[in-house]
Parts: sequence; C-alpha cells; structure tokens
Amino acid sequence: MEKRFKIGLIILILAVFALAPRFSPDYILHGLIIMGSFAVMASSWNLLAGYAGLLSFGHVAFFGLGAYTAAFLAIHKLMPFPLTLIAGGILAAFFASLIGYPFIKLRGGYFSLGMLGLAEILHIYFLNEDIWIHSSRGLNLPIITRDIRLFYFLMFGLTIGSIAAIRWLIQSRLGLGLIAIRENEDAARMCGIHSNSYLMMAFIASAFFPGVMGAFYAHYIIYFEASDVFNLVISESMLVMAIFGGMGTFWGPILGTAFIYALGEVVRATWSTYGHLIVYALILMIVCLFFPKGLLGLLRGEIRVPPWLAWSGGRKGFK
Amino acid sequence: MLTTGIFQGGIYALMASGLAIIFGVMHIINFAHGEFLLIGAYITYWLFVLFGLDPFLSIPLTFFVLFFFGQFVQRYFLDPVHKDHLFVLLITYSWALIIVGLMYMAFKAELRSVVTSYSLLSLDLMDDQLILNLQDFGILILSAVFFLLLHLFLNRTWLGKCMEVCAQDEEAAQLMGINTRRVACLAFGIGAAMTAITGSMMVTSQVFHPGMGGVQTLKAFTIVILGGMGSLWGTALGGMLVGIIEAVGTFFIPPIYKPIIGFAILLFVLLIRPSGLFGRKIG
Repeated sequence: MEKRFKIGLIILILAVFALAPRFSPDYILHGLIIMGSFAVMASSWNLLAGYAGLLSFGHVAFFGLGAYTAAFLAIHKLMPFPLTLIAGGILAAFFASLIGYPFIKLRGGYFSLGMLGLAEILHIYFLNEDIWIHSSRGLNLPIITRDIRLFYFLMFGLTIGSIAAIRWLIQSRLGLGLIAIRENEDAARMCGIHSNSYLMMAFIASAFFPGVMGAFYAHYIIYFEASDVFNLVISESMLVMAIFGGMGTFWGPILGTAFIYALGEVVRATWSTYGHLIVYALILMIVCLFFPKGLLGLLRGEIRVPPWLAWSGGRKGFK
Repeated sequence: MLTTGIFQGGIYALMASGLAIIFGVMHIINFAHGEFLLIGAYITYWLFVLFGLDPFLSIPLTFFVLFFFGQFVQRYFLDPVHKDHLFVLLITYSWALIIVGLMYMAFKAELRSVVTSYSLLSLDLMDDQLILNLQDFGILILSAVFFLLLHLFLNRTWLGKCMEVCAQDEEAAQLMGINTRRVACLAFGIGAAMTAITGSMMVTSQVFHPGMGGVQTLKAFTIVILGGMGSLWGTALGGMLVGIIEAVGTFFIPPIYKPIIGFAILLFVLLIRPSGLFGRKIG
C-alpha cells in the first residue's frame, strides 16, 4: 500500500469515529468506548507479550489498581477528574516498578503464572478490604456527567494518545531492543542491550496504560466492585484480541480488538452470557493451531497445518 | 487443625501429582488442570445423583474418561505446536476457558457437593481431643495408595522409565528408539486421569462450582513448583506443606483471606527459588 493511501485511510477512519456521536445511539457509543479501552489495553499487553515475549495472564491487575486509585481520589475529592486518570496510570506503573524486578526474571509460563497469581491476590484483597477505601462494599463515585458523548470524546482522545505513545515506544530504541531480547537474549546482551532495564521499562510502560483505562472505567461506570475490575475475563480479552490480530505488530491488537469485541457482543446478545467466553477461547485455539501470526499473518499467507490435517507428504499421525 | 491440614494436603498432593507428570515429562504448563479436576468432580457428582453410584466406585470411570480425553488434547492440540511453549500455554488456557464456559452453561454457578451415608461417621481419639472423619481418613489412605502406584509406575515399568528418559533428554530418547510423541501423549493422559480421580474424591469432602478450576490450577502449580519439578516425592511433600500452611494460616489471618495464602506461597517460591525444594535446575 502506498503511504499516502494509508494515511488517508487512517484519517477517514478517525473522521468516522469523530462523527459517530452525531448519528449513533447511546449503546453503540458505549460499545465504542469499551472497544477503545480494549484497543489500548491490548496494545499495551502486546508491548510486553509481542515485543518482549513475556506473556502476562494477569494484566487486569493494573486495570483494577488504576480503577481503585481513581475511585479513592475522586471519592475523597483529592484531585480534579482529569488528573485522576493520570494518577491511576502512574500508580499502576509505580506498582509495576515495585514488583517488576523479580517478575521479569521469570520466563515463559512462570511469568504467566506469577502474573495470574498476582492478579488473584489483588482481587481477593480488594474483595475483602475494609480499612482504607472500603472496597468490600463496592464503590460509588461522584458523577462527572450524564452525557455519554463527553465520555466518548474523552475516550477517543485517550485512545489516540495512548496508541500513538505505544507506537512511539515500539519504534524507539526500546521496541527494537525488546525484539532483540525476545529473539535471543544472550545475543542481545552481547550487543550491549541491558536486558533487565529494557524489560523493566516495557513492564512499567505496559502497566501504565491499563492503569489509565481502569481509572477512566471507574469514572465512566460510577459503581463497581472488585469482581468487576479484577475480572480475569478482561485479561483474557486483551490476550485474545492481541493474539487474534497478530502479536508483535502495531496494527494487530487494534484490528483484533475491533473484530473480537464486535463478535463478542453479537454472541453475548444472541446466544448466552457465557457464550462469548467460549467463542473467545475457540478463536484463541484456532489462531494458535492454524495461523500463529494472527490475522495480519494470515493476510500475508502464513498458515500452519497441523500434522493430523496434512493430506500429503506429512506423517499420518504416529503409532 | 493439623489433621485438617494433613487431610487437605493429601488431596492437594494427589491433585498436583497429575500436573507433576505433565509438567515434569513434557515441561508443559497445563492451564486446564483445575478444569480436568472439575470434569472428574462433575462425572462423579452426576453418577451419584442420577444412579446413586458411590463416589469411590466412580474413580475407575473418571480415570478412563480423562485418560482418553487427555490423550485427545495432547495428540490433536498440543502435539502440533509442541516446539513452541508459548502456544502450548495458550492452547491449554483456551481449553480451560472452553471447559469453564460449557460448565457454567450446563450446570450454572451452583455450589454442589456429594453427601454419602457415611460422610459424617467419625472416630474419637484421645477423649474428643482428636476427631477423625473416617471418610477424610479413607481419602488420605487412598491418596497415598494412588501415589505409591504412580511411583511404582514411573520407576518400575518400561513406560514409566520411558517418560523419565523423555523428561531428561528428548533427543536422546528418540535416538534410543522411543516414540517420544506417543510417550508424551500417554503421559498427558495419565496426568489428566490422576487429576480427575482427585476430583472424584474431592467431591465428598468439599463443595465445588464451575469457577473453581483456576484457583485449583494455581494451587497445583504452587505445589509442583514448591516441591520441585520432576520430583514426585517433592510434590507429595509440597502438597502436605501447602495443606498444613493453609490450615495453620487461617489461625493467624481472617479466613476470608485464606485463598491468598496459596498464591502468596506461589509468588514466594517463584521469586525466591524457582527450582523448588527438591527440583532440578530449570531454565
């Protein structure tokens, strides 16, 4: 594709989204808001998983922390609304920097397990916490506005800003260094890449954006409980969206979010409340088995054929 | 209280033994472990409710069902991607989600348990100082028996030794004429089956619901990692330790935080000594 054409396409899509509130009903706007936050979270998850090779199964931990930070600040009226969004992100990033060092030493499945455990600990803690923020009873935030279009435009700006920031991170030295580490850590270190600090930076950066999104969600949804914001379904959605689109690419998670979220909503509306979980999982499995590079890989024709499906040449099973 | 810990520990140890095989032989992180456990639990439950079959008698059935299911998963889903650990992880994870989703749809989020005619029989020892529930005691003995059988299987039979060889060096095993993919299949099947029979036994002593699998998966990993990968006796000890720590821990912290103990142990072991108590060095 020519570059000019690409830029034109992006501007066109942005224009459609900017004009959306004029002609779409509220529930579409709600869907777009949630979709925007998932696009950001899937992208930041991808920063860690796709580029650094650390698969986090508990990224919802940062989302929840952001939500609780914003709720705490808003309920006690410590900060104006826009600042709480940043504060949510900063607290999540700060938390990531505190726990990060031992975590980035873990590799492969151990990292995933550790993150899953971390998210569950935070979930149980906030489910029962009754000392500082009394989160065990659920939190009621002061209402900012009843106009969903305001939230929509805010989310629109946040999404563009965050995704642009992630784009910048990917193209900076950090992104290149992370790819080098993912491909071969020892070789990367030989070339003078300080792998630990690079991974730390990636970890902190990918914690920041879910934190902001969590803070936004808290203000948007007004009332929430620990089980809403530490719901593992959120981690799972990020993961499926990023992997479906194509891990380790910039556009993958964004495309993946659009497809998967829309599909999930249709399934939820037509089939069953738990239906979208099963559909997500099926998609994840199909992607892993047949096109490991995701949708973008599929467009380039990268397909894997499992041995039991190979009709010629391959070994027919094994005895 | 200590006895509670030991009884619970026995179940934990058996639950983790299945994972120890899957993890130890194939180095696969099986995220669907807790869900395998639940499949076993539900089979036993429905057999009991519909046909009045004694939970302990359904053990052979759950063993075989999950043995074949495990082989199916390994052969058609994990084997094609077995060179890429990331995808193995994701595929087991998606299996877990599918099973949980189906269970929620089929059985709803109800708490269930099996109460048999002999559930409440207990034995007084030392003038009410120590009360043993006979059924829990039986489960402990049975767990020990299964553990011993597993140990004998791994160390005394040809297949078990093949698994050990595959665990140590897959290429060398292939050179020695072992069909490593077949062995991996069987190992996964046996691991899944061991998990399922734990589920069958567990239904008699505690309640279960479809959302429970994830917690059990993490607990099983905690135990295997605590005990050390590839060490069956380490797993047994790890199970006992986690059971006892949980039982004693509820003494010091409010019981609502009890689930945190398991995760805390997991994080602690992962961060301090990832090779566990008796494990080989891992990468």
